[in-house]
Amino acid sequence: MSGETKVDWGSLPGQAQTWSQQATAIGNISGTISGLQIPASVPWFQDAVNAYNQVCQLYEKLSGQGFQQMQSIANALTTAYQNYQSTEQHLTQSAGNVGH
Amino acid sequence: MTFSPSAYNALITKLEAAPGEIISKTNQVISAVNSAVGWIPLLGDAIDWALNKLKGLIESLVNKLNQVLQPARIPPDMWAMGQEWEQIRGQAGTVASTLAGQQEKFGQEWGGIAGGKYNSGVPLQISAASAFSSAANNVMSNCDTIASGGSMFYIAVGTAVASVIVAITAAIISAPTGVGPIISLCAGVVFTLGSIATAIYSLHFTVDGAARNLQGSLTPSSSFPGGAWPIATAQ
Repeated sequence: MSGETKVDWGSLPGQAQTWSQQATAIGNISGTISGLQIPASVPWFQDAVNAYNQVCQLYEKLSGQGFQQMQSIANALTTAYQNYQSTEQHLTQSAGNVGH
Repeated sequence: MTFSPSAYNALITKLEAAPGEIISKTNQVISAVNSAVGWIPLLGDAIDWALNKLKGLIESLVNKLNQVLQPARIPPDMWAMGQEWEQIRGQAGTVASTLAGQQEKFGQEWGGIAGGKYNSGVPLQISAASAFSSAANNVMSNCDTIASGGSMFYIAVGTAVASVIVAITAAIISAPTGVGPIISLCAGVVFTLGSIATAIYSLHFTVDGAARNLQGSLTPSSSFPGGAWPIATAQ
C-alpha cells in the first residue's frame, strides 16, 4: 500500500542525534568562515582579496543554511519519535483500560 | 612551493630595512665622490650631473620599495586562511561521509511516505556537504597560490635589492675615481627597477589567475539549487 509508513522507530533518537551533530559541525564552519575575511585595500592583491572575501560571505551563508536544514531534519526525527512514543503510550493505556 | 612564514618574515624584515640602507650607502657614495673629485673644474660639473641622476634613481627605487612593501602582509594572511580552509574542507567532508554512512545504515529501514521523504531529502544534504568540501578545497588551493605567488614576488624583489646594495657598497670605494662608476651604478639601479617591474608583472599574472578561480567559486555547484543549501524535505 503506497500510503503505508514503515519506520524503524527505535533508531530515530540515534539518527536525530547524528543529524544534530552534523548540523552543529556545519554551523561551526559558518562561524569559522565569518572570521576569515581579509580587510585589505592594497595594490596588486585587491581583486584576489575582494573575490576571496565574497567567497567567504557566500560560504558563510550556505553553511548557515546547512545548519538550519540539518537541524530541522534532526528536529523532525525527534518529533516523529515523540509522537510515536506518545501514541504507543496512549494505545497501551487504552488496551489496559479495555482489560479492566 | 611551500610557504614558510618564518622565512617570509625574515625576508620582509630585510626588505623593510633596505630603503634606509640604500639611502645611507648612497649618501656615503655622494660624500666620497664630492670630497674626492667634486672640486675639480669641469669634472665637477659632470660629477654633479651623474650624482643628480643617481639621486633621482635612488629616490625612485626607494619609493618603489615602499610601495612594494604595502601589501606584504597579504601572502602570510592568505597562507593562514588556506590552513583554515583546509580544516573546513576536512570538516565538511566528515559531515558528508557521516551522513552517507547513516543513509546506508538506515535508508533501507525506512518505507512508505515518511521513508520516501527521508530518502529523497538526505542525498541532497550529503551532496551539498560534499560540494561544500570541494569548494573549500578550491578556496584553500587558491589561497596557497596567492601566498606562494606573493612569496616568490618578494624573493625576486629581495634578490634585486640585495644586488643593488652590493653595487652601492662597491661604489663607495670606486666612485671617487670618476664619473664612470657612478654611471655604472645608475645602470645597476635602472636594472633593479626593471627587475622589480618584471616581478610585479609575474605577481599580477599569478594573483589574477587565483582571483578568477575564486570568482568561479561564487557560482555554487548544482548541489546548491538556486545558490542555496538544499531544503530538507523531511521537515
